[in-house]
Amino acid sequence: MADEVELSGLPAVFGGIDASDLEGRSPRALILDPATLSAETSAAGRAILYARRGHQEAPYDAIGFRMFAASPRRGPSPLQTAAWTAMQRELADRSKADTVVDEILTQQAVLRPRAIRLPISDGSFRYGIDREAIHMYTDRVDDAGREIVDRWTFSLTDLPDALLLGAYDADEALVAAQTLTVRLQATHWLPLKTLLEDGHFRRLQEVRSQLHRETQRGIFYCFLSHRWLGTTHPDAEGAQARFAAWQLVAHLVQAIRVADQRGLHQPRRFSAQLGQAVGPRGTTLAEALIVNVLRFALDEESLRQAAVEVASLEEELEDHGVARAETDNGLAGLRSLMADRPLLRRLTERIHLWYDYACLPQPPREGEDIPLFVQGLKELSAAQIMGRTVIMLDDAQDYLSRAWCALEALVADTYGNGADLVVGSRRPTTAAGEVEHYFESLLVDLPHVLWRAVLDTELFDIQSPGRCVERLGLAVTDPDDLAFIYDRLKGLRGPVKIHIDDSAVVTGVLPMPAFEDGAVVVRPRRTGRAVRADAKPVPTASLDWTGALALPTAWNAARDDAAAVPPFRRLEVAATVDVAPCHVAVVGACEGEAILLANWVHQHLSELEAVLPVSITSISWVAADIAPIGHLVVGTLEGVAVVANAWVVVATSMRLSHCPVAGQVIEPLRWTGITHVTVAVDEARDNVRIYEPEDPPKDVEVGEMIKPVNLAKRPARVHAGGLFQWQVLEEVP
Amino acid sequence: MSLPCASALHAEFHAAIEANDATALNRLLQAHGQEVVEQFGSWLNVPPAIRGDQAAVKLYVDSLFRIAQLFDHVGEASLLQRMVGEDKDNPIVRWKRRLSNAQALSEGGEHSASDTELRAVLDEMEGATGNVVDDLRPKILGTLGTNALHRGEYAAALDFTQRAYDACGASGDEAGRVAYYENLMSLRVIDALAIAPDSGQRALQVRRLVVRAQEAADAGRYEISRHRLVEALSVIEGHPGDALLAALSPKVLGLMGFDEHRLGNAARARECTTRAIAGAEAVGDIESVRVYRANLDALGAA
Repeated sequence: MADEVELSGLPAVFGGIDASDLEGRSPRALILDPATLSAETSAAGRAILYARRGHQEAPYDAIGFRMFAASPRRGPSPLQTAAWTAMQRELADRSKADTVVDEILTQQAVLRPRAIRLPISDGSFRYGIDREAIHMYTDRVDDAGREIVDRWTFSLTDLPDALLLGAYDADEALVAAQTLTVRLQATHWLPLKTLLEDGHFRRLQEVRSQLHRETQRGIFYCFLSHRWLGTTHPDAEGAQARFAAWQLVAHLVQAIRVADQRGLHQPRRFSAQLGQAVGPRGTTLAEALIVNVLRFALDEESLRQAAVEVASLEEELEDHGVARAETDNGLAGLRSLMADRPLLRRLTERIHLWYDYACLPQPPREGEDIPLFVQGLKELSAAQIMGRTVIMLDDAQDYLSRAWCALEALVADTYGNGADLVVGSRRPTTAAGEVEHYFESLLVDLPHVLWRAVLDTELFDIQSPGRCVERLGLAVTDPDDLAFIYDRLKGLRGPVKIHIDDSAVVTGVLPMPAFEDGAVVVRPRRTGRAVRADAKPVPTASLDWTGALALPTAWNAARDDAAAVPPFRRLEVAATVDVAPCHVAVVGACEGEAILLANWVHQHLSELEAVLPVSITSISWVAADIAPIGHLVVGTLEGVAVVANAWVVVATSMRLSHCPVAGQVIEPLRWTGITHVTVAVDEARDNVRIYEPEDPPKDVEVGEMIKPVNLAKRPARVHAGGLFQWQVLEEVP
Repeated sequence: MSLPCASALHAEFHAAIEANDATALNRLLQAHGQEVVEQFGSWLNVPPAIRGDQAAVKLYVDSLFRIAQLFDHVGEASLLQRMVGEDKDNPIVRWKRRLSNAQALSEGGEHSASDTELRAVLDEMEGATGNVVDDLRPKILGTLGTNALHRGEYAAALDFTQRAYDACGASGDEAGRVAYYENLMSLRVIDALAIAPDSGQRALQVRRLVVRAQEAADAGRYEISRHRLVEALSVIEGHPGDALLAALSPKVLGLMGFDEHRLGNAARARECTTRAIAGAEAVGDIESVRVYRANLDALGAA
């Protein structure tokens, strides 16, 4: 076991974990026989040992898949890996052979009765979101003493008031080109109008006169990220041209309909509780078109006319135009559809595309086109940042194995409000015009996987950049591109979006507010977050720590050492009577990120103390890792009692709001009335929220929210291998 | 909820657990922990006075489980082990494990292997009775139905799902009935498409209309939704003897009531919802009955 641990690059503590019963078993065998996996407190450690299987240099995807297979309990959305996706896809393809049967089964969830309001319960409920509906579950006991779970289904457009608590306006963002006029040296944009006229993508040299370099307000710049379907032409049969054009027009039609329904300047609403847009709304792409095209081009009257113009298209474009795209060679059908719709035509003129074949010089390149091409590659990320990225997804596994595509997806996620996914080709399961859920999940998880790989390379220094790219399974046609791509990857900041699932592995130190000299700590009673409006406005301050999540600004390999950032450290500070002793709790996405943030906090304490009247006396970090595939330096979880008058919790904004582990830190502070402050490291302004002590609302029984734990009777343990998220509440005292 | 016929110590632990009273539990554990370990074996015999009362037995056994779990949590696992027994000796543990394995095999596409496990458990359970059997039997039948569905054996899928639904009905398992009812409605249409194509196509047509009406309502477009429902209702009313359409009628009327409410037509909303409840009761659609009754309450209060 010790040898295996050493070979796995895992901390020595894993030497005490026995996973020998899993040896020799394939991931598939474990998935098919879950009863053999024990759900004991060593489960996370056993899964980690199994996943690395004696060598730390396994491909990241393989580690993730093996981790998934060895997890005794998974939530509804565990880390998606290419291997698991392949299994799911095979099953889906096999069982969906009869499209009518598939259609009937899919109808079931839609046919569930909708409730008008949520019946009064004790206020606690669970929920799951399924496309346009939210299913809420409340518990009751029937006359025979049986526990019954009642389901209440609501449309996300039409939620009960209880779920709209704290909802706020949240439009899609303006693309950067709306506020900045930029003339990049080698970035060209192709008007959608030109594509519609041509019916297919032409190479830059043939379409040069139609291209635009200078950006303008009121134009939507759409960066199309796609696979090359051939070596000399990415789209020789014109399929990508058809799917791109039809879907853009269909989303534009939807944008018109939604804007007409909601009001041109009425913002979309966002529920903080659900982490989801609610109320009347379109797809994210349609919403982006409302903000970036419609609001510039229309007024209420012309919007009304446009809505009348496209009303008859609703049924035809219900699948976002996917079915029509399949057969519309040369886009004659789309041109015909738009022929007697002048407003729609006018709006499409406000959409410009970036598609590499049409916007970068193609071979054979001559003269000025050679440096133009080189410069164009350098400006790729800038082009994405100026506009909005739309990913044409057909084969996600293949898309994500291509280094350029992966980089584009990551840039979109980091700087461009994410990417809109559209169907890249006809597949039987895309009849509704949607990309398959597991492909979408794979893409959503990509930033998390890449981030861990880069942290392994730069922060933990366990591998070379080349090995990093190899373990990620990224391929390029030209090997010289790899260094360029890796440099871009390591320059990006960590993901700000989070992925929550019970299968996350929690390691580090979970700090627990303590009283009576640390003899008694306070722990939450439940993992969920209590949702209620703040009783009074929460004061905010600004502290720009956005550099904390980017390796170039946050980590200096010559100065910093991951081993010197323990999960808990007390600081030597002179006692003062004027300022409160304060603990800083960092919550990271993985050990690498937690160390990066904790190191940043330690180096920027004076900035924090300048904003808040506190004296930092200790710092802890804990990682809630949805993708436990990266290097581990601690690999244990321990609850530590912390006596402090004030607390600061540092994490990304999404993590502060939604992560159950962050909740386990924050909720006890909230209900014990300890002054606490949250610092969102991904926001530059008003990102420090200061929660002063206040009496709990009258309808809240504090005893139902938190509990005291006497550590003399229930001492904290060190959990080797960490704990799965679902175990933390029970196992940390 | 008080615990009838339990010993005083058992009742005291039960009350502290029910009240979530950590202080009392700590006190009880310290003062009487050893006593409980010694007496627990005798507690496992359900008091004769309550054996005929299913709810009381459940409450009694549940309380034993929670006490055993509490002791397990503080490091005393023997109580829990006495309750569940050793795996190899305990048929319930074995059945549950095999069912879990069969479900994983089913999800993993190994439908025949899953069937083998499920049939073996069904054979073992033959002649057995009790709460656990009542709980497991529908799940086994339901999974057999799922496996048959994945193989394209729709008649068999319908048969197994009907049996699962009936088993839930017999044991009063409301949640199970809700789950299998949905599947049953779908499988009846799939089956009809093969054996009575006219009826099957009609049902499919109405389902499509209701789905599109629901999608319109979900997008806040109640007028369009209502328009599609009127079309669906006219098909249903044109075929009064059609059982598949009768099952869809409450869905149509329930959603119509919802749309009318959103469109501000309170009286019409109440009328449609009332008719939806009656229809749902007639076909045994208990989830619709519950939701539409709640809607009617909300409409009355509005």
